[in-house]
Amino acid sequence: MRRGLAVYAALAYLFLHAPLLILAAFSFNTSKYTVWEGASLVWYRALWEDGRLLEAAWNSVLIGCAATVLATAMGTLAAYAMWKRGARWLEGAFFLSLVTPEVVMGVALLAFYQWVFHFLDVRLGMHTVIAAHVMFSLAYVVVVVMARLRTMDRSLEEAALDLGATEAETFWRVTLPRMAPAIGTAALLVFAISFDDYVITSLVAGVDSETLPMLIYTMARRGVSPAVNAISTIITVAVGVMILMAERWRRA
Amino acid sequence: MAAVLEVEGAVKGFPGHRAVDGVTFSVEPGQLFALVGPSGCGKTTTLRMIAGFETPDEGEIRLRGEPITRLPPYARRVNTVFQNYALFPHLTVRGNVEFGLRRERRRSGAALDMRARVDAVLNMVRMAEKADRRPEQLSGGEKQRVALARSLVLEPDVLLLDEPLSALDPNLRKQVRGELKALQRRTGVAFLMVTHDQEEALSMADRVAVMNAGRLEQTGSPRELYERPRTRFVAGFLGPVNWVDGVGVRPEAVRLAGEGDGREGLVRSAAYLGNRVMVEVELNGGERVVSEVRAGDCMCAAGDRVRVSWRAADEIRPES
Amino acid sequence: MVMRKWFLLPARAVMAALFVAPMAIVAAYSLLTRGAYGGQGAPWTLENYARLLDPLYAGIAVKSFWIAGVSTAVCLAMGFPLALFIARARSRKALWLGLVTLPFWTSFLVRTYAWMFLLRDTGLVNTLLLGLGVIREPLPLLYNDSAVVLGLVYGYLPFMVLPVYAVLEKMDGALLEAAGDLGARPWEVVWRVVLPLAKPGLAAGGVLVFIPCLGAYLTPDLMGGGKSILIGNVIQNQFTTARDWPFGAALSVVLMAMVMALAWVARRRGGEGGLP
Repeated sequence: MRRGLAVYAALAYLFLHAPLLILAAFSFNTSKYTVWEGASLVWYRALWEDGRLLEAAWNSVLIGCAATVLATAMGTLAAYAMWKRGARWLEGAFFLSLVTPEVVMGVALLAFYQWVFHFLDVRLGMHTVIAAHVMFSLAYVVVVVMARLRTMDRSLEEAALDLGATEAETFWRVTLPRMAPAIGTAALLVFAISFDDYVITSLVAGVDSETLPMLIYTMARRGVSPAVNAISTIITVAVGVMILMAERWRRA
Repeated sequence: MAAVLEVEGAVKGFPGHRAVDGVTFSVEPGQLFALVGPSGCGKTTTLRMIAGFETPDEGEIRLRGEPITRLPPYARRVNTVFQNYALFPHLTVRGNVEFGLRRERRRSGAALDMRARVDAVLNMVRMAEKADRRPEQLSGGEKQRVALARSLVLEPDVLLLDEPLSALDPNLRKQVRGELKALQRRTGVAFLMVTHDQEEALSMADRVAVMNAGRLEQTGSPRELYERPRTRFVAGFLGPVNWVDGVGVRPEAVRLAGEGDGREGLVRSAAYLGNRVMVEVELNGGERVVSEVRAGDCMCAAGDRVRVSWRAADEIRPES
Repeated sequence: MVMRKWFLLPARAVMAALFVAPMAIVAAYSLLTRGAYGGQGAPWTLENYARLLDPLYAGIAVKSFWIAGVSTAVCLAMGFPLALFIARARSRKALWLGLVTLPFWTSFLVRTYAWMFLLRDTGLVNTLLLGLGVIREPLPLLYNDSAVVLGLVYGYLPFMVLPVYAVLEKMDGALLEAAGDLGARPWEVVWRVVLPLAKPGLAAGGVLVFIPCLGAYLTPDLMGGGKSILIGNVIQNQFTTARDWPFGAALSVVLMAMVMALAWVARRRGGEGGLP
C-alpha cells in the first residue's frame, strides 16, 4: 500500500514538474525545432535584443510593483479593521471577487472603464491595468493576513493599551510587527498573480501597456518558438528564487 | 493447557535504541494477563508486534500454536482496544461494531446473522440503547465499552488492551477495573493488557509480567511477584520497599514497638493518613526505614525512640 | 475604535468602484439592446437571455459543465492519493507539499504553454514518436476537449490536494490501525475509513476546482484552439470580436449566477476545509 502510494506520488510529481523542466531544457536548444542540436544561449541573446519584449517585461514589473504596494497596504489595513470587527458587505465583496471567473471580471471592468470614459478624458493604459490588479488582489491579501491575525492573541493589544500606548502606537509597534510575515507572503502572492495575469489584463490594457503575459500569449498562438521557452524559463526561475528567498526571510 | 498466545525471544529495534530486547512469555486461554512497566519499557511495542503493527526483528509470535509473526494485522485473530479507543468518527456505535463483521459475513456467506450478533454484544456492554449515537456523543466510559464490543464481536483468540483505563476519569477507573474483569470472565476471551499502573495490574490480572528496559524481569501471579520479587526493580516497581543490609522489607511488614527485640531507631516523621500512619525511622546505623502501621497501633511522634523489627518470612531477597 | 473606519476606507472604495459597480453595469447591459455599431442602448429587453436557449449556446453551457465536471473528477481521482501520500509520509512533508504548490506560483500561462510545447503536431511527444517510428502521422494531441481537460487538471490540481491534505493530516493514525486490526485490507481501510473522513476536504477541493474550470478562458482558448469553446470564450468573444456587449453581459450574469450558487452551497455546508 505504502509502496503503491509512493510509486503513484512519483508519477504525479513527474506530471506536475516534467513539462516545465522539459520546456526549460529546450530553451537551451540551438535549433528552432524540437530536435536537440546542441546547447547554446542563442534564444536568450535574442530576447535581450527584442525591444518589444523588454518593454513588455518592464511594463509587467512596473504594474506588478505598483499593484503589490497598493493592494498589500490597503488589504492589510482592511484585514486588521475586519479582525477588530466584521465588515459584512466588504467581506461578501471579497468572497465574490475570489470566485468570479476572470473573464467575467475582465469584461465587467472593460464595460465600467468605457462607461467612465464617457465623462472623463482618459484612455485605457497602465493605470487601468494597475487599478484592475489592485482590485482582484485585495481579497488574497485579506485572506492571507486574516489567517495570521486569527492566530494572534487579542490580549497582546490590550496589554499594550494597558501599558499606556495609544491605539496608533499599539498597531504600529505591537500588531504590525506580528503581521509582518503574513504581509510579506501576501505581497509576494500579489506580485505573482499580477505578473502572471493575462485574461483581465488583455481586456483592460491600452495600446501602450502590453505586458509580458500578453506578449507570450501572442507568441504562443503564432506558433512554436524557443524564445517563448526562454522567457518562460526566466520567469519560472525568477519566481522560484523569489519564493525561496521569501521562505528564508520568513524563517530567519 | 496449551497456551493461546506465545511470544518467544521477540526483539524490536528502532533507530537509536532497542525497544524490545528478547521477550518471552505465554498467555493461557481465558487468562487476564497484564504486561506492566514504566513508560518506555517496551510494553506497548510488544503489544503492537502481537497486533501486527510492528514486525519483530527477531523471535516468533504464535497464536494457538501457529506462527503469525509476519502476518498483517487484518489476518490475525487478535484484536486491539486502543488507548484512545480509535472509534471511527464517521460511523455510529452500531457501525463501529459492524465494521469488522462486514468482511466475515462476505467470507462466510449470508448465514451469519450480523444484526443479532451486534445486538448481543451491545447488550453485553450495556450500549444497546445508544447504538445509533456517534462517538463524539459518548462519554469516555461509553467509548471504551464500544471499543470493547467492536473487538469482542469478532471473537478474537486474544484481546489486546493498550492502557485501557488511562483515558478515563480517575474517579471512574476503579469501578471500570471490576467491570473489565467481569467482562473478561463472562466472555472467556484471553485478555492481554498493557499498563504502567502496578496497582491496576495486581488487582485485575491472573498473571503479571513486569518489563523494564526492553526485557521481562519476572512473570508470575500478582501475589508471587509482590511477595517474592526476583529483582530489586520488580520489588520497587510493584510497591515501596525498605532496603536494609541487602534485604528488602515492605513498609506494612515493618513493626514498631516501644521496647523489646529489633533494632533501635529514632522516629524522624510520622504522617497521618487517616486509617494508617507512615512512620519514618532512622536506624542507629543511619539507614532509614518506613513503616506503615494502623492508626491505632502506634502513637509515635517525631523524636521518639522505637524498636524496629520484621518477620524473616516477610523479607524480600532478590537474586539481583 | 476611530481608526477602523479609515483603515477600511481604501478597500471599500476600491471594491465599490472596481468590483460592485462594474458588476452592476454588466447586469444593466444584459437588459439593453445592441446598437447598430456595437455599443448598447434602449429599449430594455430580455431578448439577450432568450438567446441563451438557442441550442448553440445551451450546448456550450452544457459542455462547459461537462468539461468542468470531468476535470474536477480527474482532480479528485489524482489529488486524493497524492494528498494521502503526503499526509502519511514519514518525513519531509513540507517538501512534498511544497512541490505540489510550487507550480501554482509559476505562471499559469507558462504552464499552459509547456503543454502546448509537448503536445502540438510538431511538439516533443509527436517528434519523439515519429522519430522512433511508432507513428507515421503526428497524433492530434492538442486542440481538442481532452487537451482542455488536461490543461485544467494541470492548472488546478493543487487546489484539490491542499484541502484534502489538510483533512487527512489531522486524521488520527490509530483509526487506520484500528481498521486493519478489525480485519480490513489496506485498500478497504482507504475505502471505508480514509475516504469517508476525507469527505469535507474532497468537497472543498471539488468546489475550488470546479468553479475556476467552469469559467475557464485561457486553457480552452490555447489548448482547445477554437475547437473546444466554453462559456468563458463566448463571453470574451462577445466583448471583443463580435462586439455584442448586451449578449456577452447576459452570459456573464448567468455564469456568475451559477458560480455564486455553487459557492453559496459550498460555504453553507462549509465547516472543515471549507472556502475562506
